[in-house]
This record gives sequence, C-alpha cells and structure tokens, in this order.
Amino acid sequence: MKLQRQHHLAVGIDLGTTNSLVATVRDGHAETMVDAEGNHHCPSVVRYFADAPPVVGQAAKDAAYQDPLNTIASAKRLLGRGLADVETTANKLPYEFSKTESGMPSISTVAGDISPVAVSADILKTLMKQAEAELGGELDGVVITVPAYFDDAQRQATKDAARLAGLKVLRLLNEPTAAAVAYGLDSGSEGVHVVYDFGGGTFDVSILRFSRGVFEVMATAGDSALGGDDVDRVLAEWIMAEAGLSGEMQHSDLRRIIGEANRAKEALTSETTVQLSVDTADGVQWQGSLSRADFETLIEPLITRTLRPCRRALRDAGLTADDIQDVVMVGGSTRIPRVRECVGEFFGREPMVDIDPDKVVAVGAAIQADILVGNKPGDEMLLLDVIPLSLGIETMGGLVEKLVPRNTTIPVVRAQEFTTFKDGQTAMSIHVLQGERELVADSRSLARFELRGIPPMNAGAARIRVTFQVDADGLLSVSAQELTSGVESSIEIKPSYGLTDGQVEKMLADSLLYAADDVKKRRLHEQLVDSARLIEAVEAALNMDADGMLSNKECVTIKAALIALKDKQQSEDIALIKAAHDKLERSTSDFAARRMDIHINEALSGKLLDQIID
Amino acid sequence: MESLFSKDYFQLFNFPAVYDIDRDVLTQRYRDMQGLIHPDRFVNATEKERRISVQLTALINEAYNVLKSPLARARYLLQLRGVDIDDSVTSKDIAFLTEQIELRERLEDAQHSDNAERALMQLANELQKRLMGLQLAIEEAFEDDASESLVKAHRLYDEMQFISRLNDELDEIEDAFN
Repeated sequence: MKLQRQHHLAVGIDLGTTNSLVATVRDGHAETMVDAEGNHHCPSVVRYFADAPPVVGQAAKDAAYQDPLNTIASAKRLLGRGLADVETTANKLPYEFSKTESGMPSISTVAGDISPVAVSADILKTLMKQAEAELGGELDGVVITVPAYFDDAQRQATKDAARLAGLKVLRLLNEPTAAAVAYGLDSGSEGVHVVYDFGGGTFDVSILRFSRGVFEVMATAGDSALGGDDVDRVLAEWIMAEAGLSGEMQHSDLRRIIGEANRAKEALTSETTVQLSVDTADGVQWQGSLSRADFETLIEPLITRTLRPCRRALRDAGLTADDIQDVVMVGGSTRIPRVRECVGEFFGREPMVDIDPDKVVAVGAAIQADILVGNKPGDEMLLLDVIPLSLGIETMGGLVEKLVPRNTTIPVVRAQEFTTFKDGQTAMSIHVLQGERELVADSRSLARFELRGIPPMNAGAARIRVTFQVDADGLLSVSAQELTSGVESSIEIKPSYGLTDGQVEKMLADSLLYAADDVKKRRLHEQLVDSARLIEAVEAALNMDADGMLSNKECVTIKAALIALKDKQQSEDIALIKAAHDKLERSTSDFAARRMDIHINEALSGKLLDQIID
Repeated sequence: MESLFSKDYFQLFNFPAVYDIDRDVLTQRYRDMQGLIHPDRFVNATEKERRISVQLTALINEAYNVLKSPLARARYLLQLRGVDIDDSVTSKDIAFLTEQIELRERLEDAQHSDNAERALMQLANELQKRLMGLQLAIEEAFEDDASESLVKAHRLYDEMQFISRLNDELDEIEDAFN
C-alpha cells in the first residue's frame, strides 16, 4: 500500500426533531443531498413492524395517523431524558411508554420496546445509506449536529445512536455553530454574530465572534424543550377548546388535530387567515377559522420564552444588542413572520434569512466534516465552542458545587481533591450534575461515579484527585488518582439517563441478529478505516520527524509495527487487525508525546507564531 | 526541554509575569495556539496525540481565562509571587469593612427603590468605575516585588473580589427584573 492523500467521503448530518438532512461538500461546494424521490428532507419519523424492518421518513410520516402507536416522531425530544423528564412531553406525545433499567423511557411498539436512541439510529442509518449510494462508497466520517443547549446525557445519547448506526463520528457540532460556519464562510464577514435557532423541538441562541478564520462561541443559551412542536400543541389545544373536545381522546384523533394545527401554522406564514376542520372517530365535527393576528396572540408567550435566553446570552458574552453585527435565523419556526418581527425588534436589526433556515445547519456540518476528515489540509478555519450548562458535583446538604461554569470554552479539564471520612475507606461515590441551580434536586443528574481501589488509610489521610474532562464534543469523562500513593482508582459510571457501554454493546449484538453479515461488514470497515487513518498519521509523522527525534531502535520498532498492521489490513479478521493497530499505537506513544511537545514549544517560542502573523 | 504542562500561564503565552498585559496580543496568541493544538487539528492523529491535544487545549483555555480576567489574573499573579490567598479569612481593614456594609445597603436600597432599574444601573456604573480604578492601582502595586507592595496588592485584590461579587449579584437582580 502506498501512502497517498485520497479524497475521504464525509457528510454532515442535521438530526432534527421533525426533519433530518444530510449534506456533503462536492467540488468545493456544500449542498444538501436528495433521496431517490428528490427530497432534501427526511422526516424524522420511524414506523416499526412486528416482522419487518422499520420504515423511515415520508412513508412513515404518512402512516402516522393510521398507526400512531408504532410510528415514532420527535424522538429527539426523548433522547437522553428520564421517564420523569418526559412526562410533561409524553402527555402530549401519543405513545405508550415503559420504564427501563437505564432510567430512559422506551416506547412500546409491535416490534418490542424501542429506545429513543434506537429510533435515532434508524434515522441515521437511512441517511447514511442514502449518502453512500450517492457518493458511491462507504463513509469515512460524519459530523452530527446537536442543539447547543443539549446536556451531556443528550449528547451522549446522540453519539450512542451514531455508534448503533455504524457511523464514525468526527465531531458533534452545535447547530448554531454549524449555521454560523455556513454563513461565515459564505460572506467572510468578521464580527459578532447571533444565531437564533428555533427548530422543531428545541430553541437555542448563540453569540459567536468570527475573526481571521476562528469562530469563537462567546455564549450560548436556550431551552431544550421548546420548539415548533409547542406551537403546534398550543394551536391544537386551541382547536380542541373551540371544537369542544376534552383531553380524553383517541391517539389517532390527537395526531390528526396536531397535523391540522401544523398545516394551519404553515399556511399562516403567507395567508392572513386559515380554515380549519376537525372530524373525529366519535363523530365530532367542527369547522372554524383562525386569523394570523389571533395566531400571533396565541403564540406570543412562546416567542417571549425565546427572548429570555437571548438576553442571558448577551449578558454572558458581556455585550449589548448594539454590538451585534447580524442575526442569523435557523430552524423552521423562524419562518413564522411574528418570530422574525420580534427577533428584529429585540436586536434592533433585520434578521438574515439568505440561506434556507432548514438547510443551513446541515450545510455547515458538511463543511466542518470535510475539514475534519482531512480533505482540506492547511485550512485555517477553527471552531472554539463552549459548554452550554454548568457542570458540578453534589456536596453536603444536597447542594451543587460548580466545577465548570456554563460558557467555558471546551475542551476543559478541572481537578478537585476529595478525602475519605472513615478509617480504611476504599470507595466513594461522586454525583455529577448539570445545570444552573444550586440544589441537587433542581439540577439534572448526569451520572454517579463509583471510585474503587482507594488504598486503606486513616480518615482524611487519603487525597483523591478527581479530574473532570469535557472534550471537544462537549462530553464528560472522569478519572481519579489517590495522590499520596499514586494509585489510580477504578471508576464505574452509572449514567442517570443514558446507556452504559455494556448496554450499547448489547444493542449492537442484538442488531447482529437482524442482519449479521451487514453489521459484521460494517464493523470490519470501521476497523479498516481507523487503521488506515493511523497508518497515514504514523507515516506522516515518520516522514517529518523520524530524523532527530527517534533512536534507530525506536524507529525500527515503529516501522515493524507499521508493516505488521499493513499486513493484517489485508486479512478480514477484525481481532487481528485490532491487535496490530493497538501495538502500533503503543509503539508510537512516546514518539507522539515528544512530537507534540517539540512542535508546540517551537510554536510558543514565537517561531511559528511569527510565520502565522506574517 | 521544559514540558509545556509545567510552565506557568504567563510563560505559556510568552508574557513576562506582570499585571499589565496587552489583551489584543493575548487574544491573538491564544488563537494562534488554538490553531496548532486544538483537537480538530488531530482528528486523524494517533490516540496519544489526540489525548495530549485535548489536555493541552484545556490548559491553554484555562490559562487564557485566567490571564484575560482582571480579577483572576491578579489572584494568579499573587500566588505566583508566593502570596497565600485564603478566601475564608475576612479582611481586618475597618474602612473596607465599613464600605462593604455601605455598598450592600445601597444594593438593597436600589433594589427596592421606586425606579429600581435605573438605580441598579447607576450602581452598576459606579462599581465598574471602581473596578477600573482598582485595576490601575493593583497594576502599580505589582510593579515591584517589595513585600509591602505585595501586601498592598493583596488588599487591592480583596477589594476587587468583593466589588466583582457584588457586581455579579447585581447582574442577577437585574436579570430578575427583565
């Protein structure tokens, strides 16, 4: 195998509450891709069957009225949520829920209990196949967008869904950041931008500064349970009240009324009144009309709810509305004229709607995917994102001690020291929470970390340093070390609303039963892609730095491991390839550390900095 | 070679360890360094490099946050110069204590006055001016290493911290009004 820079296949996926899209960069131009019928949007709806594979997209959406219990829409609202969390949402969603061990709600269907993660995975799989068919090859990586305001559990659930779908995630990217990339690279405008993202199920606002190729998220705020669905719901409740219908009604009728509300909302973006009609299974018939003015009165409280986070984001960024250069509108709900008006008034300028608000996120994700997968070496664009919600731990008295305040740039590492309170204590539990409130009871529980293997000592003598790390995807990991002995504690993570690694493995194994060949092939492909990536990285490193940084012996060891992996790549044995892969990783570990240190030090000494400034 | 992880924040950004640093240069160096070490630059690198990149970026982020904040920078510089800062010890400076009480009372009054929003804004402006003054004073105090200068810097830091906290509280109260 000869080293050559090939074009890698990468896409950006906007996994939306109501619609999902996939986009890619072709000939330097980012565009959304169409399915066989020529549609850019894939409705985020999955219909499950007792003895057939699920159906995803428009066909599933069309069946929602006739088969409401087995047709799952808006699963994104349930991702990373506990059953108690979704109860308010669930009352409005026409599904049957069951509680699971993981604390996550499952939806009872004819195909069994389906988790929201599995629903999302089915949507991702459909988009992946569509993209692979069009690009003519398997994908090397994807960037998936999430609402900026998603907490750790929701992000983790999204990543789990991608893993289940067999996708290599290059990065989880915040939706508003993606939109800013799409606009920023288009206009190349330096300055401070606001992205107002009012989608199907979530709202968030981000303030970004774009300067010399660097997007810096200054603040983000939002409401992860507020979206166009709520507009539909408010309208549906109005229709039900007008038609004299009570809350007790069949799922299919509720679905139909929500559908009617949705149609009315869309009509009112261009019409000034809309005719409505209801015809239920119990024979209730009603007809009426709604004016745009009355519609606007109905949804005013929802719009007001979006302006509060705008105010907070401005304050967190230390800015006023006057500092804002422009406001970018994202998400289907920004098509509502009153929303545009209110946002325009709030920021004192006409919002930008040049790029289709439904496509802009996917387009931005595709641009970032293209860069991350390595198709644009030398590209200077960089995104610096933040953690949307404060991270803390439980302390005495049910209080939360904040470790990482919201809007801290990621990645971030924070260490905290703990001690034992009993003689001979060898384990302790750390409860990690997310949110802005001071009481544990008001915060969102992320996980409980059980530290084990603390050397037995007198109470208060052990010093356990616990390190919390949030990576560039906004995902938390925790490690711990006892400082006086240097012993690493083992950590068992119990996510409060997510899947454990074991559960994801099991779901993967279960899906093996479905299509054993398909999954096995995909896993082999994943391993091959991973290893090819490693080979490319090591060869590049050797070419650049072998002279001077490596002894002869080290060089020989690495080259031997490199040849061994290339050799195993030809086999179709995942385990063999993985073993050779790990061996190469290990043999280059010191070399990697040395290179990083030397290169960064060179940069810091001003050598590279000056080159960049010139 | 000295490991990056053992450098202090000023060294990381190639600044002398003084209070007065150029914000624009700081931001520029921060961005240039991010361009080199951010995990997005190492998506295709080995696992080890990816891990170092995350840790190093986190370190640079932390250092940048400390250096760009007038309050955190003062605290960090005091610590670098060997001053032990214990937040649980309250000041013994009677004049400062009296002023703290006065300012707290003024915040209370502003909150409950007829035109609370305006009163809060006035107080906020005043606190801002006060902070600017303190920054200039502490910059001067940090100019030499004499022990009385450090004692002075420490006292100014305590004042800065109090005013900043009061300012944060005020922000929250203003928020509740909106």
